[in-house]
Amino acid sequence: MRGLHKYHLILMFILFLGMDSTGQMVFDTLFLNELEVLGYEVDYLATTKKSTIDSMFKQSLNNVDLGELLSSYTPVFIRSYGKGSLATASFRGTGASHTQVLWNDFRLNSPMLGQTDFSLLPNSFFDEVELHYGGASLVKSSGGFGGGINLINEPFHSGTPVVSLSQTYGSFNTWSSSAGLNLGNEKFASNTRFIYQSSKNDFPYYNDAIIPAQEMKQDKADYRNIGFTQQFSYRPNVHHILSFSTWNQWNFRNNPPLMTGVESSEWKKEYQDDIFTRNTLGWSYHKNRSRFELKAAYFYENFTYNLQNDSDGLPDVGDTLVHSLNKTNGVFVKAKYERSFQKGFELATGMDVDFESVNSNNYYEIKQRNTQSLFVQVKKDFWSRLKISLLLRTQMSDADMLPLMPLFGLNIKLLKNQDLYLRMSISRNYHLPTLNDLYWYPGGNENLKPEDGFEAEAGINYAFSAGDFLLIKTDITAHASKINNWIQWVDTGSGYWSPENINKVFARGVEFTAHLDGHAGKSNYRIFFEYAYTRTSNVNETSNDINDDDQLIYIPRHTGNGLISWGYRLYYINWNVHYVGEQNTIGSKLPAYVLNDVAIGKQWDFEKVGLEARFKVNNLFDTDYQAVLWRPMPGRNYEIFLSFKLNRNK
Amino acid sequence: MRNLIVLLISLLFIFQACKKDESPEQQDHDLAKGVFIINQGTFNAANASLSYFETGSKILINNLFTEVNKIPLGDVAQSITLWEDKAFIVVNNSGVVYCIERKNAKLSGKITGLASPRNMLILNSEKAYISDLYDHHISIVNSTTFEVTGTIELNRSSEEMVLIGAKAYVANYSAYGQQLKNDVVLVLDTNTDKLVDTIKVGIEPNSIVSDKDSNLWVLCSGGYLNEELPTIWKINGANGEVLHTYTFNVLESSPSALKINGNGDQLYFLNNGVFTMSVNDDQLPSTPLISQENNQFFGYLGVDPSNDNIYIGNPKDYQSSGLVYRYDAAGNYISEIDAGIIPAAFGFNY
Repeated sequence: MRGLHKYHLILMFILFLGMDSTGQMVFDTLFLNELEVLGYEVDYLATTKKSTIDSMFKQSLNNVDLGELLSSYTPVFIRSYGKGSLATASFRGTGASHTQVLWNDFRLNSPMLGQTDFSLLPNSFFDEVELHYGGASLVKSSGGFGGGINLINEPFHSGTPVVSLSQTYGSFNTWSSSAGLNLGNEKFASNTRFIYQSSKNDFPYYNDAIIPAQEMKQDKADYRNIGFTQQFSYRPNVHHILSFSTWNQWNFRNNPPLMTGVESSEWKKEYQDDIFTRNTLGWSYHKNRSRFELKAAYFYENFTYNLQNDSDGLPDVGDTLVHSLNKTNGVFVKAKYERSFQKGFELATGMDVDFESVNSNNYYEIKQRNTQSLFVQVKKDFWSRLKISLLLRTQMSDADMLPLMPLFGLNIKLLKNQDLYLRMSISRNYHLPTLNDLYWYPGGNENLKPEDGFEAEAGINYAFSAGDFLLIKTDITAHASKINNWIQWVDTGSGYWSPENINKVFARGVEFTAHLDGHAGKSNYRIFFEYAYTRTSNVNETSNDINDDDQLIYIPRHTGNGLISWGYRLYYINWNVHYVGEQNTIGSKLPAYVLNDVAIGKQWDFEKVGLEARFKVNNLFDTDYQAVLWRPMPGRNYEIFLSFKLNRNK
Repeated sequence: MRNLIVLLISLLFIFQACKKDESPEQQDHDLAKGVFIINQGTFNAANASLSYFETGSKILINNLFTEVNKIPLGDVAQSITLWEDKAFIVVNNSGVVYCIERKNAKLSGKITGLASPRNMLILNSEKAYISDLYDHHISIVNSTTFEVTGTIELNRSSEEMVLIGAKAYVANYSAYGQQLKNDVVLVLDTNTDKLVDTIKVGIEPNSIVSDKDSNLWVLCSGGYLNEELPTIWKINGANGEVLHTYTFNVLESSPSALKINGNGDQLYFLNNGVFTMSVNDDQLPSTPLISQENNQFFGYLGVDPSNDNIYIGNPKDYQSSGLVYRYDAAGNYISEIDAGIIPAAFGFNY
């Protein structure tokens, strides 16, 4: 592994050296001025709740995965088994498959499990993270009861340096390297990104699940991810943009034992390999008030899970206990037409065609699914104070038609001279059973109905500015959803499990966010606060009772995040606080915990070169905690981050 | 603004200071006559637990193991074996066997280094066998020092075991990681610790017992994909001769949990309801002793050797605390107990 790492550093160095010769080819470029997104900002003009993660927040976590970014700055709750291990989302108190994760509008959720592993999405691979809350995700796709997370790469992205290199080294032999290369002019652009992440991840922890309780090191939790993206964009004139993107990644990880089983885990070798390639091709045409877009994608993923009995260290016939092979192919086509008319009237309509195929030794045969979806959306502005939108989406899955999915939203500017907005929306959504639910052998149930969600939300957005010194943006939103036919796997009584549409779930909560920033003299500051209250319970079919102790497992009622950031001249300090309230698990409760991370850094900006150095302490107070029962988490740990940027000629 | 920053920073420290101080109180128990209930817990969640129900006072203690020993029981508790003043709890996915005192549930030792232990058969104060799902051998352990002293290679996974004379009979329940078909009972010589014979039965022998006449009884589910009709086999425990085969007539049924009463003359098993038959019957019972009604689910079974009372575990949704139903020998309902997650095995403590 060390050898591989050295090789990578050499490669980075070559890339860097090569710049001077290729630098001549970098033309002066003229890009549209892009609005830098400030704050985890809720779009105050939208009729449904939509937000974007602040670019500075994202920058500060670009060397880690999307799971860490979401759990630090959004109300999306990420359930992580540890760094580099499986991380799934619960958005607004819903299940892991109820968050739709999209890359440039194409769904990344596994067709087998329906969920996304957030530990496999490196933040440096996309420019922006956009969140559509609850029913608002119908704008992009169906099935996102919790919401949708769209990872965006702009075809012509200004402000990106020609060359960017970064290196992180952290405790427990954790390495993370990234490199980026941007070439092109106003007609043609090439964007290349590369990451390498690896960790031995052998952090010490106190194991009180065995007798005698003792200090020990986490074992078999190492991981390694290597990936690259390449995007080519071509703009022959102002009307057309053609683009091609590819995202390729190889991920390997060992799965560590539970704290209760460490004394007998020598025999066990449990690991998974995940290789994927994701490719998209797009054309967009823009003229006057119309925009047309046609995109296609091909995704392939090869996932293997292995459990081996390695007690004697020798390969034997009976050693392999589980060898699960899963290959998925997906072909997706999207067409969309948008037009704005006079008097604030807008129209959008589109069509999605998806084809997914799974070849798994857990299925009886190769299984496929075809879905077609159509939507139309109209928006109308009244008196520049009131905006309403209506979206209708229909979907067909292998010739079965889902009922109509409507999303209605409105936005009112409450006061004429104040930035105070009221937002309300209501929607109906359906989530198809996953292919595992339908075809897992044995147990898959082909008679499952789609899960059926009904959601409503209301929110208030307020912004206030007192010159340079202070800008406040806040948003508070209440939401409620009822999901019928929620799918759960149950014992059939004949030795295997099978999914059924048995649950009726009621999820509701409040999301609050506040963002303050400003500057005075050579100082600038940011304060960010975010809190989510989430209740999710089963609705008892017979009595309709909701008792107080029925919160579904691994959905904390209270979660919160805070950040205080202060910059002085070239220096900055960021202090993050992450709070997760008590959670129910099956049979017991997982206590609440608070984590503090502090980063101190310095940025140098020369004419063409930007440098940054940062030192970060994670889990400053060495809090002993578990995010998943009896899965240890690291105590205080450190990381050093260095980055180099070569900017375009100004 | 400065005040606000100071306020927020102090809030951080308050958060920090509010951390709960957790040190549950030590509790001692003097266990009267009753039943240990092994709550299996859900896979890979380490939420197995031990309950105790005193049959005289009707007192129920949940989470007994953790309360007394301050550690979780572990991941997937599989079985309990009582022997002299000790009880051995096999925790399958933790690879551990915990030995506790029968009188107070205090930990007196543990056996580690096991891959996937399932059941324990104690031969004497020096020797015991532990069966295993993943490792295709029996581990030989010292019953007093808890050391693993050797293994008996089987080439197969192993499950329930019974001792008849000097022979240990081992069911090959699962085909996990094995090339051979899982339709045999293996015979071990306990003096030489050698595999001496293989008796062919039906697919997936999930439970075995011995009766008063030293005959062996084997219940085979027919495979979890219903490959063949389920069967019960009556085998001579001295020479391995098959005396009788009882065949169920519904392919889709999955009978399980064959148990025998204290006298060794009456058999019990689950097949949606609780069925019982005499060891002298030559036909399977056609009607259940206790039928499974709508709101019940019978997953696990135990028979009290002192009075033939029947204990049935209902795991409900496998996500929350399960129930244990108690019935008398005639099949009359007595009461129910709120146990832990998936009450799966019973150890009668007299």
